[in-house]
Amino acid sequence: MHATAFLHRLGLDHAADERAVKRAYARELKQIDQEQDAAGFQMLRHAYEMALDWARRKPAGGHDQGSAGESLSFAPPATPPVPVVVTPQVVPELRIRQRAAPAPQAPARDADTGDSPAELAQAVFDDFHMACAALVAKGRAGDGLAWRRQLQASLDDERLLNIAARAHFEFYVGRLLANGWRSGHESLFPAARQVFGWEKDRRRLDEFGQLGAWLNQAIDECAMFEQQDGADTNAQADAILRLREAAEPGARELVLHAPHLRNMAERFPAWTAIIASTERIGEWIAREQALPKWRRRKVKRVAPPADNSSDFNWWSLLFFVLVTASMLSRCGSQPSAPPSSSFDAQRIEQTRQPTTGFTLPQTAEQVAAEEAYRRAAGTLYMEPGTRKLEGSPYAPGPAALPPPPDRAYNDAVFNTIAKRVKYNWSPVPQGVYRIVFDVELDGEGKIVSLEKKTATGLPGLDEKFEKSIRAAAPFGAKMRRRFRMTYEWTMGPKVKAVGWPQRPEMPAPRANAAAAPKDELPPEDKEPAP
Amino acid sequence: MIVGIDLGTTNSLISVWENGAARLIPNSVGDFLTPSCVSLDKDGTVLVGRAARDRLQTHPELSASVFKRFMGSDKLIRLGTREFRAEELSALILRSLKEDAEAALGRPVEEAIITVPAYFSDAQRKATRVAGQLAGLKVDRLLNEPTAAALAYGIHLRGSETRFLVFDLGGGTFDVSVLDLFEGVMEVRASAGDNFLGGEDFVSLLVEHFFSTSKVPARLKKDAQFMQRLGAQVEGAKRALSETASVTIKAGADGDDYSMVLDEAGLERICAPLLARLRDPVERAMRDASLSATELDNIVLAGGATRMPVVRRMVARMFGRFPSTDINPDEVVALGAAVQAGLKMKDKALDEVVMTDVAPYSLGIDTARQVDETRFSYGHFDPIIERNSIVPISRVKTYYPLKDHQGVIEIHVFQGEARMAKDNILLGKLSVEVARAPKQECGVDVRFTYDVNGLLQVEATILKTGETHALLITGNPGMLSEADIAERFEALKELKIHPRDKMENRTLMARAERLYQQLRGHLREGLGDHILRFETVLNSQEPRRIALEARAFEAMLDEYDSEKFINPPEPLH
Repeated sequence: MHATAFLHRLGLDHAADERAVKRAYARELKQIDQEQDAAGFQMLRHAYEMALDWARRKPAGGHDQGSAGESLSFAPPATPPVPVVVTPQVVPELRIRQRAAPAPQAPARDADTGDSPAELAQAVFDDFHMACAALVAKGRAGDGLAWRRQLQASLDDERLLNIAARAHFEFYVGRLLANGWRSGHESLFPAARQVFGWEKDRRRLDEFGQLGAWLNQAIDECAMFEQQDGADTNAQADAILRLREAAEPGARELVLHAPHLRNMAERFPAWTAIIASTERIGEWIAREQALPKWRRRKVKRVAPPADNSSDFNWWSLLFFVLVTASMLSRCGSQPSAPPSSSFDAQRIEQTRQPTTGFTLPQTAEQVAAEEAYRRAAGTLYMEPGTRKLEGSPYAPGPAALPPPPDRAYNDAVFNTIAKRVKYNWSPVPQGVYRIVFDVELDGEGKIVSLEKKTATGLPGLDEKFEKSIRAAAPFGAKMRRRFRMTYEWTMGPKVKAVGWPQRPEMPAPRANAAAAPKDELPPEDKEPAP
Repeated sequence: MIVGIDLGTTNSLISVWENGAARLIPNSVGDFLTPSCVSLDKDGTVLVGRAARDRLQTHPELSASVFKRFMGSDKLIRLGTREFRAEELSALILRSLKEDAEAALGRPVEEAIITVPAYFSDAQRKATRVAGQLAGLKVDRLLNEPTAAALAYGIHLRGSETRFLVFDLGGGTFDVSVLDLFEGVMEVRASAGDNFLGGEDFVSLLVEHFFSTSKVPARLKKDAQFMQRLGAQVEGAKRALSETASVTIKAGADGDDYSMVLDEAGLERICAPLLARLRDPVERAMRDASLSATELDNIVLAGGATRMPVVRRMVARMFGRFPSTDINPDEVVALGAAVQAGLKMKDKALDEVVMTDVAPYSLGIDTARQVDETRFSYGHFDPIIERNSIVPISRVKTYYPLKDHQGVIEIHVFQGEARMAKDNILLGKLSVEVARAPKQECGVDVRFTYDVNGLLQVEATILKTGETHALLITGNPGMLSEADIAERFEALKELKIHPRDKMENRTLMARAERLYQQLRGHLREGLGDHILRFETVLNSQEPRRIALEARAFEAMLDEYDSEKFINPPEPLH
C-alpha cells in the first residue's frame, strides 16, 4: 500500500500526528458495522495500524521509539564471595523503554520494599547465580531436577511478586544462557523452558526482542534435533558429551567427533551454543582440519562415524531407538564435568582468562577458535555492538550481545535483493515459478562464485536476479559464506492479502523474512538502474 | 428487545439497556443474583436459583450446580431419573432468567447477548450458543466477560483516554483483558485466561484441607448431603473471612462433629497453588499488549471471587498498587452485557461508543520444517491467526506438499500456544486431494476466518484449480448436531419451570428444609412445627394471609440461619 493510501482511507494528509490518526480511526470505525462488514473493518484496521506506525516513526510526532530510554546499569559483583566456577557475566546495561506520558499515579516501586522491579530482580538473580555456582561446585551440573528446583525457588521469592520484577528476572536468566555455555547450562536451559513456560507459550519470549528471537530459535532447534535420524542424534549427542569432558581429545576422537560438532553448529547454531562451548567446538574443528590427511583416513578406517544405516532390519531399529533415547537424556542433563572444575579451569592455562563464549575473543587461539566455529556455524556470529536493539523494554545495551539469529539478517538481505528486481508481471501466465542460486563469498563478502541451479524460464527475469545479487555485494560479515537462495512465487487468480486489491507486484519470497534494521542492509545506492 | 445475560458458574444475572442506562432485572424472589443451580421438585417442575441451591443440600441427587465447567463436553449430569447435558441445564437457567425479564418488562424477550469467559474455546462457545437456542433465545452475540466488564466500567469514562486491565475471577473461570480507551473506542489489546480456575476451586481446596486436618473419615466424601453441607459451610467461611480475622468451619455427620479453625494466613497458605496460577494469564496479557504495569491507569476487578482479600492482596503485589474497588464485581459483567445490547440496538445514547475485541488464542495448522535439503522436522505448529488479533479477522497462508507427487495434503487445525502441534488442542481435520505433480505446483491456500463471536471457519483452496474445501468443525466430542438440538429442544419443552408467582414461597420452603436438616435437638423440633404451620397456611390459598405469614416465616428463618444457631458456641462447663 502506498504511503498515502492508508492516510487517504482515514481522510488524513501528511500533516497528521498520532492523535489525529486515532481520532480519524475512531470516526471511521463508528461508520462501520464490524459484524456485517468484516472485510471493510479489516481494511480500516489495516489502514489504521499502518498510519499509527507511520505517525509514530515520524520524527516530529513520534514520542516512543524505544531508543530514548532511561538506562539503569548494574555492576557485577567484583569478587565473588564463594569459589565460583560459573564466572560472573559481563552484565550489560539494561535499557528501560519509557513512555512519553507515564501514568499519573503509577508507583513503579514495590509497595513492600521500595525497590524498583529491576533492582529486585537483579538481587534475586545475583542469589540465583550464586546458587548455580554452588550446584556446579557440588558436581550437580547435570542434575536437571536440581536446577529446575533452584530456578523455581528463585521465582517463588517474595521479591519477585511484582510482575515487572519477574519479567526482569526472566530476562536476566535468558541473557545468562545467551551469553554462552557454562557448566550446568545444559540443565538450566530445559529448566528455564519449563519454569518460565517458554515451552508451552510460543510467544512468551517475543517481548525480549532479539534475545527472545535467539532463545526461540534455540528451542525450535532442540525440537528439530530430537526429530533427526537416530544415527545423527546419537553421534551428535556423543560428540557433545565428549566435548564437555575436561580431557583433551586424541586424534582419533577428533576425527570421530569433529564432523558431528560441525553438523550441529551448522544445523542448530543457537541451541548448540547454549549447551556447549562454541569456542571449544571451534577449536576441535580447527584441530581436526590441521591433522594430516593420512591420519584422518586411517582413523576413519578403524572407526567410521555412525552413518545412515543402509541394511535395515527390525532388530537394528529397536537397537537404534534404545540408544537414541538414552543419548538424548544424557546429552541434555548428564553430569559431565568433574566436580568443582569446569573444563576451563583445567584446560586453560594461566595466560587465558575464562571468557564467555560471546565476548570478544582475547588471545590468538581464541580468535582462531571463534573463527573456526563461525565458519562451521556459517551464520551464527555477529560482531558485538553493531545492531541496534529495538522492540524490547529489557533489551541490553550494545555492549554484550548474544549471538544473533543471523537467519533474520540473511532473510532480510534476500528480501532486499528480490525487491530490487523490477519486473513486469502482468503478462506472466498463472503457475508457480522458482529460481535457485548457489553463492559463495570470500572473507570480505565478495562473490567468489554464483551459480544458477534452477531457472524460472521467464524472459529476462533470471538475468535481473543475477544482477541484483551481484549488486548487493560485498555482503556483510553476518552473511553465510556459502548459501543457497531460493525464491518462489505463485501467479494465481485469487486475491491473497485480505481485503486489499493486489497489484501484480513482486510476491514475497518464501523465505520467512524478519525485518532487520534498515541500516544493516547493503546500502541503497548500490541499487541497479531499473 | 435485546437483553444481556451473564451466565456464570455460580450466579447468573439478566440486564437490559433502558433510557440510556444499563439496569439489572431482579428475579422472582427479588434478587439480582440467581444462583446457577437447577433442581427437580417433587411435582416434576424445575426449580432454579436459591431454592435449587438450598436443595443441593437436602436433595443432592435431584440438584445440580457448577455445570458451566462441563460446557463443550459430553458429560451427563443426572437429576433423578433423567440425564442432562451442561447445555440443557444452562438452558433451564436461561429460561428462568428470560421469564424474569418478561415479567419485569411486560413483553416477550427473544434475543439475548450472553457473556462467556474470554478464554472459552470453540466448543465451549458453541455449547453456550446451543444453550441459548434450547431456551428459545436468539443469541445475538457471545460477548467476552472481561470485555463486558470493561464496557460497564468504561462507559462512564467515554470522553477520556485511559488504559486499564480487567481482572475477572469468577466462580469457575479466570480472565484477564487489557484495554485501551480513546475517542470513544474501547479497544481490547489482549486477553488471556484459565478456564478452570475460580472461586469454586478455592472452596474445593479448602474442603480437601478440612478432610485432611479434621480427620474426617474418607467415606464421607461419598455422602453427597454431607459434602454439600460442608461446601456451603466453607463457602460461608470464605466470605466471612473478608470481614473477620478467623472463622470456625463445622460439619457433622452420623453424630460426630468435625471442625476446623481458619484464618486469613491459613487461607493464603492453603490456596497458594491457586493464587500462583493467577500470574500466568496476567503476564501473558501484559506482554501481548506490550505494556508495563506502570502504564496502566487502573486495575478493574470483576467476578465474585475478587472479593476475597487474599486475591486482592495478590493483585496489589503483582502490580505494585491497589486495584479499584468502586464497582460491584458481581454485577459488572451483566451491566456490560446490557451496554452491548444497547450498542446492538443502536441506541442513541451510545452513538459515540464502539468496541473492538480480540481472538484470545492462536489458531493454526500442523506443519513440517526443513532441517536441510533432504531432512524434515515434523509436528510444528504454524499459526495462521495469531492470538490477540483484532476480530473479525480473515487470514490466508499458502502451504505446499513435502514431496513431489504426494497426492493429498492433510490439514490439521489446532488451537493453542505451544510450539509443537501435539501440545495444542485439535479442532478438526481436512484432507485435500492435490494433483500428483511436483510439489511446487500443488500449493494450497488455507484461509481462517474468525468472527466477533469467536467462531472459526476454515477453508482450503487448491491454487491450481481454484477448487475450495471447507472444514466444518463438527462431530467433535462435546458438540451437538442440528438434529440433536431440535430433539433436545422438544424434550426440554416438556419440563416446566416452577410457576413464578409461587417461587417466593417455594424458595422459603426449600430454605426451611435445608435448615431443618442442619439444626439439632429442640431447635430442629421448633423449626419443624413452624414448617408444618406455614404449609397449612400455603394450602389455605388466601393470598393476603399467605403474604403476611411468609414475611414472619422469613424473619424467623433469618434468625435460625444466623451463626449462633448453626454453629452454637461450645456450652460452658
